[in-house]
Amino acid sequence: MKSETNIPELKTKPEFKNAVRDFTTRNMVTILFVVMALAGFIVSGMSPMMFLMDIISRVSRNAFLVLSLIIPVVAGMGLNFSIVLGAMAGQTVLIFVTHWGINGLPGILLCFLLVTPLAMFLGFLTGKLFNRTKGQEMITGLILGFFAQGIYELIFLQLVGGIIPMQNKTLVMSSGVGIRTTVDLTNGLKYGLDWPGLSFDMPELLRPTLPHTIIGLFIIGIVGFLVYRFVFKRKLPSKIKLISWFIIGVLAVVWSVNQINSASMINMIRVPVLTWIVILLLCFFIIFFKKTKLGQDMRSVGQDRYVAASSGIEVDRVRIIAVMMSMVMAAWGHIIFLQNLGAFSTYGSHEQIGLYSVAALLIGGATVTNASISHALLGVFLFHSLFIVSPSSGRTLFGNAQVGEYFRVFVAYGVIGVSLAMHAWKKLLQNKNKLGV
Amino acid sequence: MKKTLIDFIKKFGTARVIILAFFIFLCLTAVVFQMDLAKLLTSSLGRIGMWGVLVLAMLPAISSGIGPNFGVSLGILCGLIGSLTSLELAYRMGDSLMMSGGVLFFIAIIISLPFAIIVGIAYGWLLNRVKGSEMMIATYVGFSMVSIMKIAWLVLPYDSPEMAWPIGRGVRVQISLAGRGITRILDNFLAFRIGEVKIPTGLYLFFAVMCLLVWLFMRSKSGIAMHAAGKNPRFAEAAGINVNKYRIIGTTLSTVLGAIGILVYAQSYGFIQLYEGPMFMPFVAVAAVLIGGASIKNATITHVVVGTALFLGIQVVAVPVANAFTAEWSSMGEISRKIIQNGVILYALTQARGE
Amino acid sequence: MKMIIFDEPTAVLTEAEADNLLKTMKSIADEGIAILFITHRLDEVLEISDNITIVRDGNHIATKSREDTSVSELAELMVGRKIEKITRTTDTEQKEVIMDIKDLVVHMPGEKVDGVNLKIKKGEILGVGGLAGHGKVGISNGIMGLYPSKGQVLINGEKLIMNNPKKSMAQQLAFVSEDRRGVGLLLDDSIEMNIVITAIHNQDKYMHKVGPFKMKNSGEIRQHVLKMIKDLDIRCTGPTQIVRHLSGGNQQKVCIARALTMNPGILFVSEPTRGIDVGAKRLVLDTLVKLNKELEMTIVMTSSELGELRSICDRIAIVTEGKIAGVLKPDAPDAEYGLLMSGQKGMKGA
Repeated sequence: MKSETNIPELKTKPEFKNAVRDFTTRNMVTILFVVMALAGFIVSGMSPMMFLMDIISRVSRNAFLVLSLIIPVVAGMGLNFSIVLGAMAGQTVLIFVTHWGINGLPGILLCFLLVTPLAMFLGFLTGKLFNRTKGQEMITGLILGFFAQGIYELIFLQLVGGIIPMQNKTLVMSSGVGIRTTVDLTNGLKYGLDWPGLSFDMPELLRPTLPHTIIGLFIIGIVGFLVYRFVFKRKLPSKIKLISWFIIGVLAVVWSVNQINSASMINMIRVPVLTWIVILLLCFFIIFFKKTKLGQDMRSVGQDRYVAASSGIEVDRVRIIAVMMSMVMAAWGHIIFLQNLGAFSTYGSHEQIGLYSVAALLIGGATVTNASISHALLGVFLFHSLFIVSPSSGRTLFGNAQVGEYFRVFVAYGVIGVSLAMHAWKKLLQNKNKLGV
Repeated sequence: MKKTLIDFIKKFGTARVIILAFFIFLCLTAVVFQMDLAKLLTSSLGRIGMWGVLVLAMLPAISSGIGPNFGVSLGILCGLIGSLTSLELAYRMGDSLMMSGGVLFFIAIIISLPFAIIVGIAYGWLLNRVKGSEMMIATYVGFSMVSIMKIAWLVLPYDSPEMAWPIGRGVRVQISLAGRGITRILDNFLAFRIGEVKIPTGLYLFFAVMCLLVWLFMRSKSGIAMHAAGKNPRFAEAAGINVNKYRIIGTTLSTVLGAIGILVYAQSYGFIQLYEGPMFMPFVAVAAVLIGGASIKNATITHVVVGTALFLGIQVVAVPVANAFTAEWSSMGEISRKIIQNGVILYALTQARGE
Repeated sequence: MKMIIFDEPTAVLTEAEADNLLKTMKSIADEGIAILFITHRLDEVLEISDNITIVRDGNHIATKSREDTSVSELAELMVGRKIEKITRTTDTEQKEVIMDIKDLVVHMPGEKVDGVNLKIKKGEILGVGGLAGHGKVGISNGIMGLYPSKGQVLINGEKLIMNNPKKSMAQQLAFVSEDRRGVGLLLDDSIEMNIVITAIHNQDKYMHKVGPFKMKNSGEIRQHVLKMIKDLDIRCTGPTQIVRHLSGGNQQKVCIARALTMNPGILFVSEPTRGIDVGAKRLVLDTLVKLNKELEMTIVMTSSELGELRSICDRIAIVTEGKIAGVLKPDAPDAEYGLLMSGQKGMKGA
């Protein structure tokens, strides 16, 4: 393209203005949410410490779930509302592992192991269903979620304890039939992944404080960059991005050192590094997968089923695999979610999973046809920031925290509704253009 | 004999036959357990009549080609506003006008009409921009509107003591209609008994009148045009029919019926349910019309009536029968409803011919 | 790579670009790669092919080597010698012009019309022929407002408002579409509904007023439909039979019945005998001739079967690459038809 030093060039007035304008229009939704979250934070009067603690917790437990939505989008099946089934699989396994009394990190690993074939099976069935309803996958997924809820309730509310024998005073209701409405994982699987050292009496294991984590990340970032550039000799992302990340990094490190020195409350916040490593591994897997032949096939199917089929790709098979992968990721993601939450409502937890995960992905800038890791991670951060500040903002602005709570749910539905409408509109226009009108 | 049975199953749809068989099984079980049939029948009649108009709202939507109206919650919200406003009026005017339950009911309908028409037209305009994805958009527009109205219910200036919270702002979650004599005003109109069974004549008369109006509309020039627009838009355009216009007409009719439908439902139930109430009602209506034999692209009044009777009849009978089996199966009614309702919609989705 | 297939590669190229492509193809072939060159342009074929095969209607007609043949022989082979009885004897020179089409452009996917000038004479049966994809089907679709079009169309001197099916029908034009099942019929509705619906909507027929509303007049409709069934000999179990269950030929008759119910001045029929068995084909064609004779209806018939055009039309216009290549009499020699269709220069008057 242009010469190596393109920063001074970019400062040329018209180009700079254009670049800014382009950036704003393309990322309008995201920018809107950044503004809302910021405004909400200021209005709510929350302390930074509370906010940071909450956001780290939320991002850690939700990121995996949101990442599981990426592959179906790439494969052209839109927003996968049926990850609810993966969540239900996760819950099922959690209940049984808790029943068998296996706790802590080993328990969680067992859960991951057991849930995988279950989720794959559910994903297979779902994929077959999606292939029968091509063009209407999203509504099918949504309704399937409701349907599966009915089956789940049938099994766990009516059959367990009776037809499916289970003797467990803590889990099963006093009547002997049906799992209790809340399952408490404390002293069991709670924090199994977040605090891996808990069962070994090492509560600080793999849980550095926030300032330490930031400094650590910065160092890893620099090392990683150097390795990437000089050892692997790969091309770099744009200079502007690098410079801005570097500046952010330096600021964060300065802030962290300041916090350590002033011995503020921030030093109490601990980061679940093991969970973050797991999330990072998923990100690497997704990046790697997109480069494999199967990944490329999925992208072709996602862009145009007919062209993909005429290139010899088995479209139906690829779609089923995409759904299966998503389901397994969702199941793992839900296990991660619940081990952090510590207790869950047996019959209600999974309801909002689809809604909140999809909304988060869209807020991060994804669309029905395009989703990436950065969308997922940014979206989780923004959505949950808004989530945290809404009730307090509601109380400050309207004297009623309930308004804030209703507002955040409305935001989730609204974002999805608008994204769907825009996507459908664009699709119509695209088809009209294809006809050469 | 066997061939005609197989033909019948194919024509009626495997899923429907299973549901019909299940219903018959439930009824037989009720008889075997010597349950109070009269009470069950009275309950069933009440439930079916209650939902009738809401399920009817699906017909103009499917006919005009936008598919089952998952967004009929918009119409429901308009109806709710109508009912709240009529109650507020009764409160504000004091008892000087001596408004009876029946009058209030019809005032509620009249107030909700302009809202329903405007909302219907706007909603129809939106659906025209998203052809091919109507069901998904309808669902999420419905969800979003119900969500934002939750905030509205908290801030709208309704003061009537039966509606508003005694402390703080906003209206209650559930508002009783008994105080104004609206409860079962239709049901009890000209009601009579056959033995122990109570027949809610007024309710069914009203439903019949609504069905008649819809039937007449479908025979009119506009109705015929709308039908063609829904069945084959390309044919319709070639025949000079403005497909977009008739889709909006269908959507508006559906929204209006939704508004009227919730008012019928509320008067029979005795309570107005706000906040989360309207959220999942559309799915019941969609499932009912599909169970009656309709598809994503085709619905008749017979489908509406049969479907409502079958689906809601099952719901009424399932609970006590399940209880009779074992007390621990008390939730089976709700669970079977979830499974049947969503299963039927999934089945219909797999039957719809692709793009 | 052992072989490359080129399917109409020069259709969208300019002459210079086409020349370049042909040169490139020649050099590819010289390297030992076989080339299958599919095209309708005879001069290109003769320029670079070693062996030329003519395929018509899915059948192999002949294979000639380049030295053994000529443009006119190829043209003749393209058209074929289907011996249809030529029954038209009318002379259309003296008839007045009922529709004057100037510079018609129609954006119909796959059948683009790119500047058509044509005069339609009152009371004639005008045939519109040409190779598939060259635009013949687009003309009537454009005039009826089904696809975006522009240009000037005068009907008895009055300008037609384009892109508006309602307006076209108001000018007494009726259309039987080539897409019978897609655009032409409401497959899951009765024969009755299919026949009367266009007239109901556009001419307010068959309705009676009940207060402010217009309601279906079932009696009148039934009467008319029974007459149509009889006149056109539609084989069915009755006027309420669902159209989906009829044979192709009878479905076509229902479409024609619908067009006739409008009492049109000009009837456009597009591919009237496509997908119909031989016996029914004859019936449909005879029906069109009957309508023309008895009702003096002007008929514009678009068809890919040149044979049937030559058997019932007064004149036949050939559309090539979106324009009228020429208008011929039914008894003109085969070679002339072939040349027009293959885009040879040398137009005969419109």
